[in-house]
Formats: sequence, C-alpha cells, structure tokens
Amino acid sequence: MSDMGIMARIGLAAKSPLAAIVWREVLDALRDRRTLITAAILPMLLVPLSINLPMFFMSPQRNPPNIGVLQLDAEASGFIALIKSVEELRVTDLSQGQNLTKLVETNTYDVVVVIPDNFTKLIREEKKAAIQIIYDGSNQRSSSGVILIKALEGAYAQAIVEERLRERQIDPALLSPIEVNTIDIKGVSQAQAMVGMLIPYFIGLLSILAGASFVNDTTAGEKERKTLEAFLTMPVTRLQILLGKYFGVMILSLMGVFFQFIGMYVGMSIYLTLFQELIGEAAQPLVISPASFAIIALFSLILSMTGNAILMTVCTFAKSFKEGQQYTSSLVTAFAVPLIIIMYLPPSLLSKMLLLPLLGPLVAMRDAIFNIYTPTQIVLALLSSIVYLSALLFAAHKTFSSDKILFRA
Amino acid sequence: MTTAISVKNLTKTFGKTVAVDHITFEIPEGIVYGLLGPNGAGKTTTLRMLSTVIKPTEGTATVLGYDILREPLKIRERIGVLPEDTGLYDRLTPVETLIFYGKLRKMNRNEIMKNMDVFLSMLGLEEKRNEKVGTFSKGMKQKVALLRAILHKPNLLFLDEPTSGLDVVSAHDIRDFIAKEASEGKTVVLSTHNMWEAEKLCQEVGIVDAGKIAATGTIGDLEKLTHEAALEDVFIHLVKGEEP
Repeated sequence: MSDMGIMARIGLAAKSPLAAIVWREVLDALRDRRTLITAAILPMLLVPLSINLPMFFMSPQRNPPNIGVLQLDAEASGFIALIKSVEELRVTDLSQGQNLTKLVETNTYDVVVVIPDNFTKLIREEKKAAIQIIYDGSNQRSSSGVILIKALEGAYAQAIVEERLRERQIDPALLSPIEVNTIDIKGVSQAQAMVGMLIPYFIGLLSILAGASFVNDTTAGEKERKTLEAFLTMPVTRLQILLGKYFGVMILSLMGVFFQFIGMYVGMSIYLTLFQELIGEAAQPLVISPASFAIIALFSLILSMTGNAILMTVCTFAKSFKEGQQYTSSLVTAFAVPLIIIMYLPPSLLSKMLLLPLLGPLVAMRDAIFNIYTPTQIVLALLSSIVYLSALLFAAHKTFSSDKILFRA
Repeated sequence: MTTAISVKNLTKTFGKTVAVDHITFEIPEGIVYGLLGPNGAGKTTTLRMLSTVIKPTEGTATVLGYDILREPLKIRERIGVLPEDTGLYDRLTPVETLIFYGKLRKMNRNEIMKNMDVFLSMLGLEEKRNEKVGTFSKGMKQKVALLRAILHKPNLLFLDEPTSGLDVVSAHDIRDFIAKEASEGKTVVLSTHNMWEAEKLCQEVGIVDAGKIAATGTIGDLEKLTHEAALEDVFIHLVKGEEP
C-alpha cells in the first residue's frame, strides 16, 4: 500500500463495481493530456478571447477609426472642430491633390471626409450643403467611422436648425411634437433580454457538447482499442457498465462546463469593463435570483444528461473513434437547431415547447432569467425531460446490449 | 472425471456469416484443452460464447455447471479470460489495472492487495507495478493481462492465443505459468496456432475448421484416428483433408 499512488488508493476505496467503473473513466480521461487541453485550458483562453477580440475591433474607443479630413472651405471650422472633439476618432487634415479613394483603399485612412469650398456659404444661404464621405464597407472600422461621422453631421445639422428657429423666434421644441413613453409589461430590462437570449444558447451548447469527446472515447474508442472485450468478461451487467461509463462521462462533462463557465465569466467581465460604450444599458448589472439560478443549474444538468445519453446511444454504433467523431459532428449540427430556434421564437410558441426534448429545458432557463416562470411550467418541463432521459438511457442500454453492434466488424 | 465445459450444438451467426456451426464437445475438469484451427475457424467466437461475452444464436453450453444463457454472471465470477488482444488501458499502471478489475469482481481490498503482490512478483512485474502500461513491451502487457485473468484465482481459464507475437522469453514464461496452473488442477482452455505449444501443454485438443469441430480427443487419439505421427500432421490432415 505504501508505494501506491493517490489515484490507486481512491480506486481501492470504491464500494461497488459501478463506482470502480466511474473511477476508471475519470482517471483515464484526466491522464490524457488532450483532455486537459481541450476541456480546461482552451475554454479558459479561447472563450474570453472569442468574446472580446471582435469587440476590440468593433469598439471605436479601443480601436479608433482613422479619419482624413479634406477641408476645402476655410470657414467650416465649426464642423471640423466638432469632428476633432470626438475622442473615438483619430482625425488628420489632408491636403489637396491626394488620391482620396486610394487613401481608403490602401487603409491609410478608414474614412475620408471632404468639406466642399461652398459648405459654409450654402448653409449661410439656408441652402442644402453637401459633404462627401469616402469609406470601405468591407472594413468594420471604416463602417464604425461612418456611423460616428453621420451622427456628428446629424447633431451639427440639428444645432443649425435650432439656431435658425430661435432667430425666427420659434421654439425648437416644435421639432419634437411627440414624446414616446414605453411600458414593458414583463419588466424585462434590455440586459435581461440580451442575456435571456444568449444564456440558453451558450449553456445549452456547453452542456450538451462538453461530453462529446469523452462519450466517443469511452464507447467507440474502447471498441477501437479493443479494451471492451476484457471488460465484458467481468461479472458485471451491461447496464452496470453503461451506467458507470455514463456517470463517468457526466463528471467529466460537468468539469468541462465548469471551465467553460470560468472562461465565460472572465470573458464577460472583461467585456463589461472595456466595452461599455458598445452595450449601453446592458452594462448594468443583471440580477438573477437564487431560485432562477437553481432552475438554470438544474436544467443545465438535465441538458447535459440528455445530450450525453443521445451521444452514448449513437457513438456505441461506431467501431472507431474517427467514425464516432463523424456521428458527433452531425449531432452538433442537429443540436444547434433547437438552440437557435429558442432565440427567435415568439412567446406564444415558446410556452408550447416546454414538453419537447431539449427545447423544454431551454425555455425553462429563458423564463428563469426573465423571472417569468411558474412552478407548474418548471415541473412540466422537468417531468417531460425525465421521461425523455429515461427513454434515451433505455435506448443506450439496448444498443450497448447488442452483440451485433458491439462486435461489428 | 467431472465435466468443466459441456457444449451442445453451439452456433453463432453474424448476419449471413456462420462463425460457429453447431459444435458439440466436452472438456473434463483439470486439463489443458487446446482449441486448434486456422484463422477465422471460429475459435475466438467459441471462447467468447463460453466466457459469456456474446450470446449464441443457437444451442447452449454449461460452464462449471452453469448455463451460459441463464447464468452468465455466475460463470464470469468463476472464470478468468485472456482475450486475443490484451485490452489494457494504456494510461493505467498494473496496480491500478488490477484494482479496477478486482473491484469489478467485488474482491475486497486485502484480497486484491495480497493476490496482486503474489502474482506481480511471480511474473516478474514487481518493479513495474507503478509504471503506465502504455510504456510496456508486448510481453509485459500480456503478463499484466494474464494477471487480470487470474487475480481472483479462478478454476477455469480461457486463454486466446496467449503467446502469439511474443518474444521467446515472454512466451516461455507464459507457457510455464500455464503448466503451473494445470499442475494445480485448474482447467485451461487454450486457443493456439502453435502445434508445438499444444503438444507440450494440452492433454486434449479440438480441431476447429470453418466453424465446426473436425475432431476432438487426446493427441494420441487423434494420431490414431488420422494415422499421423505428429500433431501438426494431424492438423493438416483434418483441416486440408489430405495427408501431409
């Protein structure tokens, strides 16, 4: 005993064959360097990066567009000063004679603004003045720059109009004859609306897919490595083997989900700190009640169990890890459909989805985030999910009990 | 002599392929019985059915008095199996491997540790006990797989090509081990291609060809039956239907 490793001691403490199978599954997976990289390190690095890198390129504050201004009207300093006052723009004065289109094409400037020589004169004469904006629609930073310039032009034009009205002794409020007051009957903030769409998608995706490689390894992988036959000579039933593998995979999946969550938490924290200007109201803290959190966690677990049961049934058919990967990639595509549907379905249809597999837990999660769930809905979604899960585990057992499938040449 | 295994009309088909075709034979307790046959003859499928890994399509068999269809768990508790492929988990050490399989057999902690120490030492694996199996040579892996089969000290062993592809020393160690088990009165069912090995170890053999038992009995019986002087000649005679 003295020269035994900690893992061996844990195995020795297993109280039942089922516990021993779970121990072996987890130990074997944790010793695989690929597991550590794909389930822990990559999510913690890639998830924050995938959330924030696009935001960095979209954010004018972090990545300000380069604006070239060709001022042909010496008197138009008011508008130029307005452009130069905006921190999110890097403004450079251009001289005449340069090929302006080329400057944008070569990315020397993201946007070129041309103020014509009659700009001030036309405004003074209360005629329509025109400015020219040259930009590259395929360049995100160029498009952001155009949006900002247009917003400045709108504000500048508004100021001119208001000044003209005041000169004529007319109240500028005349321009805004209607005020809109909104009442949200569900009391869902914009932040909740955004998170309510994204959380079921992300958590659903993570919960269902975190176990894919583990399931494939423990079913098709074992067949390929020919480790299954020795297993089957032991005095345990196929159901015990299946359940041991299933629980082992569940532990590994939940570990994977945990690391993905850490990645998401870090990513979202960076996002909310650095890119507030992009999200506005959504930057306000989102409060999820403990009850809602418990519902989200419960249905995340159910989704994971359902996903793994489906994967287990399908991957048992595969005779090699590679074949199993083909099946899992097809399933990933199939799983993505309900996840996308849930984001866009109207509420009248969503409530009818509570009894459907995969969709029910997603709807329950969404309602928990919006805090609009009822206990009856949650119980219905839970019961139907348990029925589907039992049916899927039964199917997995049937598949795993078939000699024809296990010893498929 | 008591019968260890009794096989009646055992048949296994995979789709249209008949792997084992209505075989009938008996193996007495306490002998080494050799299943000899060319590749694809049905030896492995027969061993899989007798060790209750797969179910027969037709027929039945009793192993140590238990029916393979009705009492598979009782049979598996009492037998040890060395499959054609060692089927070891590369990332586990021999100690972890034996703990895992010992626990599947519901052996208690002391029993696992005691038997493990004895057998690891007996097969010269004591110093490698905490190294990962994936780093082992084929011979060493075969010894670990053999340890897995005997950890619970079964009275009946199924060994499928136990020395195939091994170096001379490892093959010698394993043959010595089989002879020792036989000398202790255990029953060993040995599937092999090696006629010399069968002659050296087996008291009785069954020649399997195209899913059928071509002949079974002691080596002397088969030599008399075929009028051949060596087991290899008996084998060629029965399988190819011609005198060598």
